Amino acid sequence: MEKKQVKASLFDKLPLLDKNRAAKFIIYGIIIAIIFGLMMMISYSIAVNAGQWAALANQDNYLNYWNGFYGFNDFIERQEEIEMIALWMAYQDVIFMNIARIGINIGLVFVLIGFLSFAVNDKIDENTRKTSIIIAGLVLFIMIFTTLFSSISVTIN
Amino acid sequence: MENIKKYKILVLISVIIIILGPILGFFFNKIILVNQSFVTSETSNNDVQNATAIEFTLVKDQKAVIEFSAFTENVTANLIILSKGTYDLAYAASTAPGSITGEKYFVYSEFTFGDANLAGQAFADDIRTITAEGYWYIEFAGGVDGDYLRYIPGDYVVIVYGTNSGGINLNIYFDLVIKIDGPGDILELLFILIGVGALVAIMLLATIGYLKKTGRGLL
Repeated sequence: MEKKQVKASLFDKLPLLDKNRAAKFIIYGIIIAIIFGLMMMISYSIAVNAGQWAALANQDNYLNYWNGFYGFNDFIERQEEIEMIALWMAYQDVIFMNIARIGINIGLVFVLIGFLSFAVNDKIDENTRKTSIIIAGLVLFIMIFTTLFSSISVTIN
Repeated sequence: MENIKKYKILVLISVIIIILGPILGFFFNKIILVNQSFVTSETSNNDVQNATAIEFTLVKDQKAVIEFSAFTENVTANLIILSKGTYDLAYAASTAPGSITGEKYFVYSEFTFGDANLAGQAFADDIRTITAEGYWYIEFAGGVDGDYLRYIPGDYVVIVYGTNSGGINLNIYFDLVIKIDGPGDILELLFILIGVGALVAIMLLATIGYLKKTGRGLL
């Protein structure tokens, strides 16, 4: 009998997980996304408030000088140090924001695989599978959209 | 259980190291070389050999803070700073301090509370004189450029000389505090970095240990 070599399609290569493992993927993905999202928010907050911190530190510097805790040169040194720290506080956003973007995307990939695995699992009821594929599509849409269009921002007041 | 106790102790040590950083930084920010009252003779006005002389060395990016004060009637005290070479030359020749050339410039502050115009509070000069009463806060790094310090490493000597117009009393009384920059900043940074690094390492080790012990992978 002649052997037939069946080439696996892209769909077959998809990492299909059982129900429990898929749920784990979703939970870990969400946790990763939350941690990096939190990092992004903290980093943004530090950057935005760099000027406020500099104003506070400068006033403290003036008070220390006027009180004679240190002299003119120490005052100047501290002033330069404050400026340097404030610039770093503003700039660190660039570094941590990009790290957070990568982290969030990794988290979302986990979530995506989890939902896709739900969607292709024939042991799960039809409605859940449909919902899962819609959510997976949404996650993918957000990932692609936020990766390709960096100027999108959501402001919550 | 034993591991948990071990990790708790390690976390505690790391936190202590982090807290120690700013404390050590504060205490080692300045090294006090001299903090005492001095009595010198009026003959110091005519011969540098009789003047109070305190030597110190400055390395790159290091400065000295000198607090010079006197509160005694009839006393006129002068403070100058020389490089070690100039001082040795003057010492060998028994030169009068007032006629030595080559005094180093420093910056002194006049703290005026609430005045944000700092240009009116800091001045450069090569001598500070106190007559009967006075206090000067001096910063010295080897030289100046305007009212700003210029860092020139080297060996220097603080010299105080003066006169007493009180007749039979020929003594000059004054107080001197000399501090130089210490390794406080570096110590603070080092301790914080070590503490935070240790905390992260402990966290990672504890997580790996827990997963290994329970036989669970991440997924």
